[in-house]
Amino acid sequence: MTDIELSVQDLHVTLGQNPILKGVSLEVKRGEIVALLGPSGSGKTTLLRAIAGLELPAQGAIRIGEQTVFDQAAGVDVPAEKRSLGFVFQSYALWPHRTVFQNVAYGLKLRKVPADEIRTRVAEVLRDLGLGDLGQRHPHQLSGGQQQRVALARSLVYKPRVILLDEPLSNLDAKLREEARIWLRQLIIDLDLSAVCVTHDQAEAMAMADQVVLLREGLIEQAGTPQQLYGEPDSLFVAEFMGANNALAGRVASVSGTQAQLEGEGWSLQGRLRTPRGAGEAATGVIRLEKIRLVDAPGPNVLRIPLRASVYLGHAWEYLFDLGGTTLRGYGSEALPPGERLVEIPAEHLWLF
Amino acid sequence: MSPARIAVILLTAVVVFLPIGLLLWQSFLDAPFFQLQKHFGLDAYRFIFEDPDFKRSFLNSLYISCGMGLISVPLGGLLAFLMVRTDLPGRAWIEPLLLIPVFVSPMILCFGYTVAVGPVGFVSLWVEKLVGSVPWNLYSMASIVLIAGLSHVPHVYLYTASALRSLSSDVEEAARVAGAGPLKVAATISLPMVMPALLYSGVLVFFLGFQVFGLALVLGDPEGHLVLATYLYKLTNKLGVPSYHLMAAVAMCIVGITVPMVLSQRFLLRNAHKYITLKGKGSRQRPLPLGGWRWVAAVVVLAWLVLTVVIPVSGVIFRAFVTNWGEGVIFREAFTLENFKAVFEQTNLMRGVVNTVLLGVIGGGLSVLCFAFIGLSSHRKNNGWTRLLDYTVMTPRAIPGLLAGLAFLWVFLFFPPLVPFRKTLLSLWLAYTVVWLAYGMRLISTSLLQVGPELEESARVTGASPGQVNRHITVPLIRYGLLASWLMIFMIFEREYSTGVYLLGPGTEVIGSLMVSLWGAGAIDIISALSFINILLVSAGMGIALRYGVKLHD
Ligand SMILES: Nc1ncnc2c1ncn2[C@@H]1O[C@H](COP(=O)(O)OP(=O)(O)O)[C@@H](O)[C@H]1O
Ligand SMILES: [Mg+2]
Repeated sequence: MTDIELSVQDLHVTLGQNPILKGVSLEVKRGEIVALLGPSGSGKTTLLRAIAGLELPAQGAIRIGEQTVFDQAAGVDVPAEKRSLGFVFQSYALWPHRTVFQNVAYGLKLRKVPADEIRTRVAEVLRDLGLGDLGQRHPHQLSGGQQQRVALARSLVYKPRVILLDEPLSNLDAKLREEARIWLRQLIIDLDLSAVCVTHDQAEAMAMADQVVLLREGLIEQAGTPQQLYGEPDSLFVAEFMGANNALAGRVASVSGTQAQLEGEGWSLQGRLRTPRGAGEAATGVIRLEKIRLVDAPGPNVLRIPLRASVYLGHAWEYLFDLGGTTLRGYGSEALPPGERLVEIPAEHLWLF
Repeated sequence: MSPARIAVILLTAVVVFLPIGLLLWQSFLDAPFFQLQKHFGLDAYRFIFEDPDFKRSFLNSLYISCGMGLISVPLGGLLAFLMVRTDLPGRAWIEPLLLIPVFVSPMILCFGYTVAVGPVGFVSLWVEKLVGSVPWNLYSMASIVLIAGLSHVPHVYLYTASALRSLSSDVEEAARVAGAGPLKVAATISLPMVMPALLYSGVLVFFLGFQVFGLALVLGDPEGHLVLATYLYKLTNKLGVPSYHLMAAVAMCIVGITVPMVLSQRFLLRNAHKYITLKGKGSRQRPLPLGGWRWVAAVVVLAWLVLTVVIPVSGVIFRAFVTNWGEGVIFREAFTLENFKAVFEQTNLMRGVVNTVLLGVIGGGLSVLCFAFIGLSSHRKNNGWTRLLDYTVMTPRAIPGLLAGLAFLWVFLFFPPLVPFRKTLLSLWLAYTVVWLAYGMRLISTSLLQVGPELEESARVTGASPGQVNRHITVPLIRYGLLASWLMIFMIFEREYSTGVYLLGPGTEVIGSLMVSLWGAGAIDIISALSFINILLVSAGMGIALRYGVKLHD
């Protein structure tokens, strides 16, 4: 017994003439929630559909629990209905001609569960998801949030071990979405499921997932815990995707170990090399907005630059500084008049790519 | 592909291509294919190519096709523009009237013309009283072309209107904002965007022109104007013996012209889609105000309606209730119900009426079931099998009903397992189903296209096999589409007249084929009564469609 519930190895998928996935591998442990993150068109939905058996991969292998459901080399391809997965579609795909009860009961009917057991199990899952007395309604009589929960109930009722969710929250409005992601995470943990959840919102991915897999044009750019992706990005793409950054274009002046000196128009800053760079090479320095600090005294990695404007965001103020023509942004708690300021760019938070 | 799907596709291909293959084979023989003494060769083709009547028929067919294209494409396009894009008065009630020439058989319409505007028609007599003579000749080639053209305007209208509807007005509005005036917008944006639809329907009308039969039979007879289909029909009379090989050779000539056209339509259709923009949720069409032109346009449309619908239909209805008609006859004195009594008293005519209803209601339902099976067999698949099915389905469009009926007659005469069914409605039903296969499949696939793929996929991941998905999800979701298709097929089967001509016999009478055969015998009274009954049946279908909001076109 391994505790790997889902494993994907070197998966290639071609749609039409276009290679969409170009060798993706990932593993989901028992009880783990993996977020598939990536810009629109990066192949997230395609990966999920391939796992479910809705797209035929050109190469690679997929295992669910102990069972190999797809292996191109061995000629194995278990049809979608035999994979016993839960799948929540982005559009929810509720069957409009069936009531909520009939939608949810369908998977149990197909599994030949006796009628009275179907009734109790459906009632149970509807109650657990807060849909208690909506069983006799048709999907079009439900709100977006209710539809999303019916779609979940439908794929949970037959107790799959792995559930796949394609942007399950994207049709909800912003406020509901923030509550729903906590609720959804708790539900998956309570049911002891393994889940792969597609999203294009990095905040959502970090809030929901134990592991984040970042896709880019059909390849995994980086995979790891939310802290790793946010705090130790391997590439400029990851750094840009995971948070709000300042990017400073410059040239590497000197290198010592993982530390390097980046120089630009009238400034020189020390930072950590995230990709190998030699002296004299062009590089980009990246620092998260929240890591920029105003200080009182000059020191290493402290710049004296003009503040152009303070912008009110509600929960904070955003400062716009001018660094040799590029704009540097940072946060603070109060409005400041324009003028020269001392700004610290901590060396341990300045990543050089 | 599952074996069941492949079986459905192969069966469809056999049912479509077997009769056509038989026609093709027969056309290269010098005697009926079931005789032992026969030789392979081009004799049949040699004979018809040397026959001056064949040449004349071919030229007449060509005139009709070209004339129809020249008349119906501009008028149909204009009509579509007026109906879809402008504030033409009375659009709501014009719409169903427009479709009458599509759902009433040309036999009946032309018969109505002879009653109304023929040499002694009631309109002609009235005009003669006013101006001293009848300034037109209904039986001239020019009249035939004009009537053919006017009665095919709806075909062009349907395609162009649906293309116009699928353009959202924001593309036009964007041009307006960019500085183009209304005329400029029409010429540079709207018209080019519906050009593929116009072209497509132009080709459609052109090959329908080569299939014209009833119209030429009724209007061409008095002055001896033959077209290819009537030439074929009259070959037997002309030679005194059934000459299967000659009929097959003529059939192959017609098919040889129409098949390339149908294929080119497929190519045009592929291009047509490139302009179809999906309408966003909020986009709606604002009708273009015509201003003072509103009434001019209304008069033009009304004139077309009177000429194409009101005159012939009123002619038929009128004639059904009088004993005879001619100079000096007074309606009050001539009024009678004898014509209908005659229909009800003759068993073969009465059987024809009953058969027509049975074929439309039960046969139509069975056909829709077949179409649904065929549609499901290629649903969401794209491979060699579905391409075979595509070609199979569109082939019958190229085969005029008269030829399909002939081919199926042969199949039922000489294919042993089918021989016992020759004199039953099964032979007619099969021929009707094949002739209207392309039309029916269009209805079905329109419904199937509206089913979102995730609805089926989510059933798959829930544990349903492909067959269960069809039964539990896809078919229930298209059930209203299937009912609507049944209604449409009912109307089309009521209207059909040429497919039954060669299959006509005791037990297989239908109103349409009876009218063709009675026309040869000159039984005007009975034809008019049958026509009236037929119009009633089609109207019942239309009434149900309008009552339940079934769309009569897409
Ligand atoms: N049926 C298809 N045929 C060809 N290309 C497709 C098809 N479906 C999706 N694609 C392409 O595959 C890419 C990845 O799509 P998708 O997996 O839906 O991305 P995501 O879910 O990450 O936004 C996109 O570029 C899309 O255009
Ligand atoms: Mg997607």
